[in-house]
Amino acid sequence: MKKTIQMEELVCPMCAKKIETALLKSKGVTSASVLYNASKAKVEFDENVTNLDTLKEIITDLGYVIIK
Amino acid sequence: MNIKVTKFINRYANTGMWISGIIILLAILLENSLLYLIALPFSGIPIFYRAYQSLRFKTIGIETLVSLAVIGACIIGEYSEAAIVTFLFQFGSYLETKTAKKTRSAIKALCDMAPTTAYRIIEDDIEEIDVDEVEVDDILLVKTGNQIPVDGIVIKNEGYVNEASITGESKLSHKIIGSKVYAGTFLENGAFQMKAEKVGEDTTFAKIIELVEEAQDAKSPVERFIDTFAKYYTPAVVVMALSVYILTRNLDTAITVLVLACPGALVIGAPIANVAGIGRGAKDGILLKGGDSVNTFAKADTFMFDKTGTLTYGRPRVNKVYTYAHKDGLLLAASAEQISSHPISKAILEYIDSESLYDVKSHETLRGYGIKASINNHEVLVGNKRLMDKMNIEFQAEVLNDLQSEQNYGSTIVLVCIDATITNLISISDTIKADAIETITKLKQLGIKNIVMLTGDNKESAECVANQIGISKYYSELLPSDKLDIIKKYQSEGHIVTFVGDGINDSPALTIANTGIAIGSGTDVAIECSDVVLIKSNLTSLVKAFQYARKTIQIMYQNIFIAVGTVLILLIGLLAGYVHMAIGMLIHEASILVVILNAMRLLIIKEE
Repeated sequence: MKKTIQMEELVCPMCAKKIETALLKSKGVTSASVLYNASKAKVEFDENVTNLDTLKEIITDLGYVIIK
Repeated sequence: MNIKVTKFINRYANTGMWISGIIILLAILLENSLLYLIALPFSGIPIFYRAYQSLRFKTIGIETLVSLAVIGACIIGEYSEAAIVTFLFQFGSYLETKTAKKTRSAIKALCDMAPTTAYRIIEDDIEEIDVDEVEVDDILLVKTGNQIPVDGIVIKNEGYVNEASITGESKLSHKIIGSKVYAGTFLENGAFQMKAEKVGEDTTFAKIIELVEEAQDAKSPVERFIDTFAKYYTPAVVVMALSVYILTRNLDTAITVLVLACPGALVIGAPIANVAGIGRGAKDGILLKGGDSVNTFAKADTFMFDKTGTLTYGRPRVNKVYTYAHKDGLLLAASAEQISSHPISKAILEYIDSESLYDVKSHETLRGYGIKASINNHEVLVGNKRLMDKMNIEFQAEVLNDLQSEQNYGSTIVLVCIDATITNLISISDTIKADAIETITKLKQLGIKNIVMLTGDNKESAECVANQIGISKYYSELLPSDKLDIIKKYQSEGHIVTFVGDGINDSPALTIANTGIAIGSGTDVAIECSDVVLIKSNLTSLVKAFQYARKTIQIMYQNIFIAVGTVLILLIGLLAGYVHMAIGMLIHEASILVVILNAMRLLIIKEE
């Protein structure tokens, strides 16, 4: 399953890298990429292992606000 | 706890920056050095926090360098320098975010064009829903003035749709039952029901936005090099500062090195140019697929064009009309053509473009010949020479003359005969696009050495088009695989080849060329296999795209030059004893703004 999460404007490219690393480390995530300029995270995951809400929580835990 | 801290810091970083700025101002006015110490944390804490966070991810960022410098300054009691440096750094980042946001605004304008609501029909009820809730096979109602919410097919009634956002075509498209409609286009007239076929991120419109977004983050070779460079350079600065301290035993100089050598402008200079260039293109219907594409395209020295649909309109159009008698002949001919759906008939009707066509009393289509009709008590024949021969019509001498000369151009000839007299000769062919000649001339002016036309058509029509446009090199009667061989041949001779095609039947050539450019559509296939997509089908946007690509690369190198130059001048200034930490920081932040502003020029350039 592939989903896109729209976040509030990212402050620096570091932030994008940080979110990407955190998502990739999460169980069930097969691929993740964060678009810095668009402030979007694109995640591909196994929906039997994890779900969108868990992934959104990871981002919120890092201190970033999710719009959609 | 971590979450709250980050949120708090992100939210109040700017407020803190302003507070520290005011306190520093007071400190300067009152000449009170204690106030500097109070000002320090307001700007300093966010910097320290980010430095700490990067360390957790095992990277040394610019914040780390600044933090070290500030700590050093405090150790030697230079509180004023420390406070001013943190303030300037934060103020610089603030301006950086503001201006960088502007640079990205082009793509934002595109996203804002996305549809937001849809009207779903369930049994007899109509409900307004968010466009994200639409599912495949939903039946939707679209009314006049509405935006079409998703990709789908018309199932009831009809309407006229403005599809400029997808196809670049400004003419309204008539949609009837069975017609495909696309998300993001506007229904300007009529109302219909549609069935959703592609929703969410699968719609053509969403794919265009996704392409641009990904493109802005896709790095060019130069950017990748800078990224790698920065990864080693930043820690190296720490080592450098340390060596300076060991050699000179002067902590002041050592910490100044930390601030001066920051790669701030270098890190942002290249990507910001790409973001601006790609965004600017998107605004004009030019989709550049990322830093790599921009880079290769800017270096192109050979342009190859597919003929049909790229240099020409790809459909027959009336070129020339000869009139011999009966001024009403053309109108009568057009009236007769109303009944036919043949491309030639369409071309004639398009040319006449009259609302006041006559009623056709009776008509007969003679396959392979033309049309015979009775209109206003006239016997009207519209068709080829064979039709006239078949009907034993006599040709006037001038008709024969014109017939001969027009045939030499490889055009299709339609003759009009009213009551047994030839009244008109209409010459029809696939004409070259209005801006084709200008485009080729401009490309030559821009220093493109090789301009080549490739076509599957016969030699005569290829030669005719090539001569009209001013292309000296052309290859005709090609199979798709022949096109690939020609591209490969040029590449093996060291040329950087750009291939321009319509994106529908040229996918292999688009893929194999260094830069593949699909013209005139934002369809899946075109987006998939090309590096640059021109949504508008005119060739003018090709020249624009090329100029944008070149300008982007030019600005990127300028930015790198500005960034490296600033650091070098500052270091020389330091050695000469003119530069101190606060001034260094000021110049640094200024250089960051200069590179962003330089990139913003891409948003305002006009075509040359």
